[in-house]
Amino acid sequence: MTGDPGPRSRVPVLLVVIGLLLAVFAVVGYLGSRDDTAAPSAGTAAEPAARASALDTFIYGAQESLRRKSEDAPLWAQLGAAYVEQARITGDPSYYARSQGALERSLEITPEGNGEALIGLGQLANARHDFAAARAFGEQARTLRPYTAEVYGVLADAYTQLGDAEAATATVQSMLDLRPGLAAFTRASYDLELNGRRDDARMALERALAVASSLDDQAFCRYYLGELAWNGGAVDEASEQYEQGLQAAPQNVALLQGRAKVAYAQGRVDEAIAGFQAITTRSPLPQYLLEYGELLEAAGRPDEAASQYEVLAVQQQLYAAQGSTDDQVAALVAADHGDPGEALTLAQAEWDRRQSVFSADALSWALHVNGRDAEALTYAERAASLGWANPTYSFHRGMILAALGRRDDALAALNEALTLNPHFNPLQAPVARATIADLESNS
Amino acid sequence: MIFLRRAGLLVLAMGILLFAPAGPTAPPPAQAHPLGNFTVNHYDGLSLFPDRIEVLAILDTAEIPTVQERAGTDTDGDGTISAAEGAAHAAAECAAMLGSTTVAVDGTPAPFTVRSAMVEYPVGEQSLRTTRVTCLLAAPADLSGRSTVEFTDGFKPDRIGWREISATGVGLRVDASDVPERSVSQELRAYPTDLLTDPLDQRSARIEVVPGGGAVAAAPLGGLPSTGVGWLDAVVEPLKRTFDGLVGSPQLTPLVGAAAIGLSILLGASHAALPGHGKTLIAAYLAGRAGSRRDAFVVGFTVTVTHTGGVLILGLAISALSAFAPEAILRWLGVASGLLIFAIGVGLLVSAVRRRAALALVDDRVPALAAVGHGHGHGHGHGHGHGHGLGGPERGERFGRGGLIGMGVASGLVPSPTALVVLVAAISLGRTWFGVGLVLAYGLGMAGVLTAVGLLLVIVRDRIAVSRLAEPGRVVLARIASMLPVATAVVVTVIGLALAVRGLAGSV
Repeated sequence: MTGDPGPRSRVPVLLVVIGLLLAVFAVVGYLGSRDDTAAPSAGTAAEPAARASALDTFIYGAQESLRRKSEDAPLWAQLGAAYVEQARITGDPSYYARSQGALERSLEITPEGNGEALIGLGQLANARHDFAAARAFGEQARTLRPYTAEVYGVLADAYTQLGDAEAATATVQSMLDLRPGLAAFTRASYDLELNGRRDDARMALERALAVASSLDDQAFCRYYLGELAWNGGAVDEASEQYEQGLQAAPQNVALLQGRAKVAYAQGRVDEAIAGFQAITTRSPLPQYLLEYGELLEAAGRPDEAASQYEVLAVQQQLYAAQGSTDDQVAALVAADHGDPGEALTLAQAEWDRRQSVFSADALSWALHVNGRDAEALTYAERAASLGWANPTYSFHRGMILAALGRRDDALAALNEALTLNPHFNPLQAPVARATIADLESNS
Repeated sequence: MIFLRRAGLLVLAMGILLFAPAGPTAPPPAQAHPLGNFTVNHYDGLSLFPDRIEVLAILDTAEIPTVQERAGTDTDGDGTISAAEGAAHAAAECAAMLGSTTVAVDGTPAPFTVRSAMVEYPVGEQSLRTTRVTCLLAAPADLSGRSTVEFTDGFKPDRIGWREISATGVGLRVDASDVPERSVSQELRAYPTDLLTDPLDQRSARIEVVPGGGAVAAAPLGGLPSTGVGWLDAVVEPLKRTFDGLVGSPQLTPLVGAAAIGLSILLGASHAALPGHGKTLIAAYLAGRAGSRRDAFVVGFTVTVTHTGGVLILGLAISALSAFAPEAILRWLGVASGLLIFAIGVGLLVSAVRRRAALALVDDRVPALAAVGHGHGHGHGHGHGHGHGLGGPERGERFGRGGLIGMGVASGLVPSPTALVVLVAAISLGRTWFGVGLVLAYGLGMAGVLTAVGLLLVIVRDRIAVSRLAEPGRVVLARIASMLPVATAVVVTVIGLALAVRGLAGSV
């Protein structure tokens, strides 16, 4: 066989060539198919949304324009900000990823002095509850765009959540001076409410409603007017506001939640439960799952309540895996329905991150369920320091005071909670009443 | 030097046989649900036939709603979803779809029924499960004339998520449609992440159809069964699209014609190079049966003839009869092909066992046999049967040739959907003879690869047999060579059975 290398030696060469051809062919085919799967997506975007709001129209126009002219940094930034808004309205979190991508694209094109992108990143960070980052973006943007109202919107939200009450109030004032529109009035209202000025807060919201042009904006204002009434115990007025809001936006989940809790307060328990079931099916956010679970527990359906807490735990696991920086709701859930030790860990982490009235309240309650009432009281008083009339905070403070044996102060705080809103919580309102009865009988 | 070349040849042979399955098969890593952890996503793939409408309805439920549904699905409350519980859940979901998924033909509603329902629980983020329910809905409808089909999906209307509809015509032509022909998300498996694209929210579709098969080229595999191997479809897909474009191009210039023929050969070759075809077992057969190089060409020729004939008959039938369901035919051809191979395998096994029994009596002659094999195994190209005269040369020869042809028939029996689609498209464009030529070229491509693989194996086997090893090594090799017929017979039998079962299960 070594004797005749001539004709034989060509065969392996031929085979190698065939083998290589096959390999190259298949690899090219595979790579080609991958390009292909990405390509059709651009085509499908060309379909306009079925129900177009001003926001939908803007997003659609911006997408079209950027597809033709992809180097428009300000438009990329505006699109990123619009996606944040769209995520809030639709409840669809996939818009956050798109927002991030659009804003990064804008910064890529114009890395220096890109105030629009910084504003968008600040709005995105606030929406994701990363308030420290939002503050940093907002402050950078403020040096670049000191006369743009949106900058102050980002900063007001961040300062409020981080517990810098004075800066928050000053920033809201700057925003009102620059552009007294819907965004400024609603923020002013929230700031006033936190500082205990409920009537002024309502007036600000009414002004916001007067300038609200879109149905979504009207629904937004109606919801907060309803919440203001609800937190003051005015169930009928709250109901009126929620219903008016639902006429503008029948599918608005926040307003549906308002309707459901009104139903419970008015004794229509089954209707309330059905309402919450629909809400959590559509938008299983931690707050709604918690309220639904507590409602089920109060209605004597502990098994179903436990399923809601289980979903909450899964939700928490997912948030933690995504690097969430908001442990406040999780701390309260753990304190009331889970592990007290975990509640304290979470509340302490949240307090280390931001020293706001919200985190002060969460930490005080976590300390209370761990039996550390003396420390808890410090934080409960801190939560009340701004003067915010919040029945849940009053209830927390009252229970801590009762545990410390300060009977009169405890009675005052618990009565305050029930006076503000007798229906503030389906599980805690009865506890407040029982504790009051208990304290009064031991006098 | 010789040894190196031989080793290289072996590596190459292994490489070719392993190449296809070892290619781009890596599954995508489990990751966060691309559309958020609480979305519920819908896809409706409409197939419009002259006599009915079929909808492949898929419901992809992310991690959180999967947990929310668990209490309802886990009816015995043991914390796990059994197969029965999953099936009941799928059946309930598909039945619930009937209430809100509607179709009307020229304004007259057509009632859907559930043909099949199944559920899977793919792993999502944090090792949590997601839910994927697949329903096949069907409604009788007369679409044999010009008609307008209006479809709406109102199932779980308030859940947040991706909503997608696609529609293709099978045996009729889609004249106008407000939905694409194929899923842009690969049926909810890969969501486009374009920054300039909103999540799709398609809840209804309006499609106008007219008689004729003209649009089949535009909807290559819409109504035909896919291979069931996702990436396999993906590999051939872009080529097929180019191909469809060439076939349908308005001006049939010599250049376009030549390009289409060339691409046909390439497609046929790729089709044969991918797994799921008889190439491996043909190779095994040749290696085990002491086949000659001529045998390899016999196989290639048989495959081309069978495949071309099959495609022509089926393609003409599809074009001539509007109410013709190619899937069922393809499925039964798949079963027939599997059974044929199985029968050949059994025959091989019987003869191999008999021969081994005979050989065992004269075990000391084995080295000599190997030497005989050397003398006739190459150079003349007529080694077939000579080295194994003990089993009766006439019988072995006869069965061998018959088996080879059977194997070729089995390989060519199941028409490739691509070839079929191209032919039907060419016919509808009035280019029947061009289509026939393309199918012929396709078959030649297939035959080329199968012949090449067969030749490769014959050569490798011959080299092993003639290797100038030391005497003990030759004895071992000869033993292996004597085992080979039994082993290959078993492989052929198993593959035949597997192909038949797969055909019965519904994929080709």
